[in-house]
Amino acid sequence: MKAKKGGSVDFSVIRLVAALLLAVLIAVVIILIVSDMPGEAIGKFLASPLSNARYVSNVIELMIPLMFTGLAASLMFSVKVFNLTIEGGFFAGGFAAAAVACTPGLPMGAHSAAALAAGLVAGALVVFIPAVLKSAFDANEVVSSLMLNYVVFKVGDYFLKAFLRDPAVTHVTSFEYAQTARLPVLFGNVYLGIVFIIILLVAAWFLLFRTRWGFQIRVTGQNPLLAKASGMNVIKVTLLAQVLAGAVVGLGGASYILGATQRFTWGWRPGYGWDGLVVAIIARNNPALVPMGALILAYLRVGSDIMSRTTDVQNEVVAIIQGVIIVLVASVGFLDGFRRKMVVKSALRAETEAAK
Amino acid sequence: MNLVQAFLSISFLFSIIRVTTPILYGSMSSIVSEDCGIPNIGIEGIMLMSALVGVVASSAAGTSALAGFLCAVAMGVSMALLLGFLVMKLQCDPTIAGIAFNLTGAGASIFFLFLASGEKGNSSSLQSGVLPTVHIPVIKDIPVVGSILSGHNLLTYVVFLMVPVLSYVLYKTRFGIHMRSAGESPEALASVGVSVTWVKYAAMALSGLFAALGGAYMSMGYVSYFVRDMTAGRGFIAIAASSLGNRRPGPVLLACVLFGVADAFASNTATQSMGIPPELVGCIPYVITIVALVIYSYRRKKQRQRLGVGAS
Repeated sequence: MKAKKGGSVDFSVIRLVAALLLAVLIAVVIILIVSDMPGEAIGKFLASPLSNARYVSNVIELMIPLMFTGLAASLMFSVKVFNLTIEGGFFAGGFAAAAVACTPGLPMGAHSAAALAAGLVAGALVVFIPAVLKSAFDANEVVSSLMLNYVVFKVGDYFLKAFLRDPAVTHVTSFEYAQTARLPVLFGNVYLGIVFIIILLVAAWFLLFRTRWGFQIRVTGQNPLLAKASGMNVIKVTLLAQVLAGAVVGLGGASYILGATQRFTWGWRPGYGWDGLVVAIIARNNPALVPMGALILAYLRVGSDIMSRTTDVQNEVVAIIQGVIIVLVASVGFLDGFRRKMVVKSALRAETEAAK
Repeated sequence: MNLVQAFLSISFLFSIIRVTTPILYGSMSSIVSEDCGIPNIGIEGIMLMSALVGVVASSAAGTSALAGFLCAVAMGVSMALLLGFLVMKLQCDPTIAGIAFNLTGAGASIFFLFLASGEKGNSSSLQSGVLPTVHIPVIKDIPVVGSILSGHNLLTYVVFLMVPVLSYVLYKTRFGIHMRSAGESPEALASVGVSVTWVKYAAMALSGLFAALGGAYMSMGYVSYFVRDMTAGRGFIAIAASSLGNRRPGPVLLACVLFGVADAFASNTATQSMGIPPELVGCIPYVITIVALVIYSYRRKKQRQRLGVGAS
């Protein structure tokens, strides 16, 4: 890729670091402006996630859903489609798992497996709809997927109210999940989902970079005309990548629901689907880098939550940071002048060395 | 039947016009941006931020609706110009940049709402102004028609007037032709000595203006306060309407009215009292958008195949 031309250092790394620093700097400036106790707020925001073991475990716990959605978004972006049902797929996966988990009668283990399978299928189905509408009817996937998210949320809310609602609780929420369906907690708040996602990340990396299918996915994304000309079934590959993404995100929703919650609450909107886009952009669609992207985002989130609990700055400040990161990392032209200077410098150096 | 009566009633027809307004503004924002070659996916975020800024500025200026309105417009225009800068100067993918705008808009509007009002849900603790309602002379006295067409917010009349105006500007003026060529064949435009960059910035400013008007209408006309996520996907529905109407203001208007009818139907009390669950009724506008999009895209695909071009 272009970025490699920047001399000895991979330039996209420099751009990522610069984008992160700039985003955090903007957040710091905002805090300085709005807060009455800026020093404490900034300290809490940037340092507190490392201040005790519980916060560290919170960061790791939050990384789990972010890695699921980040991997799904990476698969999606690998074929250059903007199917934004990752958010709806995560919700659908979680809801399907909750529905199974509320139905008692299955033995330990089998119950969890059934709930996870239901989530996986639900996620894949939701993500498949805009994918197939695009390939069969040429319907713009950005618009159809965004509309579908709203439909999925509302239908889920309706099913919850109509079939799973626990009448003993005043607010609208499901029955408590059966113990047999819950995912075991490994340490702190970190549940078994982390094992699933690590296996999936390794498998996805292997698929993308070591198999024929993965090669086809990457070529299709980078140069669909070339892919077509060399006899690849572009439509099939694009659909495959999206269904895989849907399965990942459905499983992610199911794991989250079974590992981190006891009941499914009406009006719940995950938001992790959107975060997954940020993670994928930071990871440059490489499954191996998804944990890093998830760590950065989870760290900022936990830091901002602690900050908003203990100071006067609200945690939505992260939304601003996220926006800056997305835009700058995705901007090929960001620091382009600097990159050119580096190229010129290294060329000059090579020249003088060659002259010696 | 009660239901038929309800949907032919004056209040229902009035509400169609009312709910179509923000979608139509969003669609115009989308038309202009797509025409100049920088598809604006961030309309939802821009509308939301403008809606918030309108309320906050208006309350800061002692419930002056004009101050709120102007600040909302400034917000929308600068966001759209920023999008243009990101895409043209920093070579950011427009879809990704638009998604970033929507994400940031959703969070940042809550952040600044809290700063201004101390609450994260809505701005009801702020005293903010409302843009004037217009009673059209003569028409308001005609029975039935008067009650449907008169008494809307000023911005509603502006948006419907904008349909022929935008059509004229896009297809009959030099600026409109420049704008469309900037999207279709920038090289040709540059070859006649016009700065493609400046034409695109002008188009993006216009796109931001329309989105801002839609946002200002939401919080200073449709209702008189700001609620978090109050645009509720209207920015996206607007993009769908603009593509259904093939980016021509007349047909786009029809598409917007279709969604307006769906929206009015979903929020009508008669529908809600029929015993259909509100969640499912609430799906209607979104489902109709998807169905209409599929039909439109399929027909266009067939058409292209018949002409033997763009066999993608």
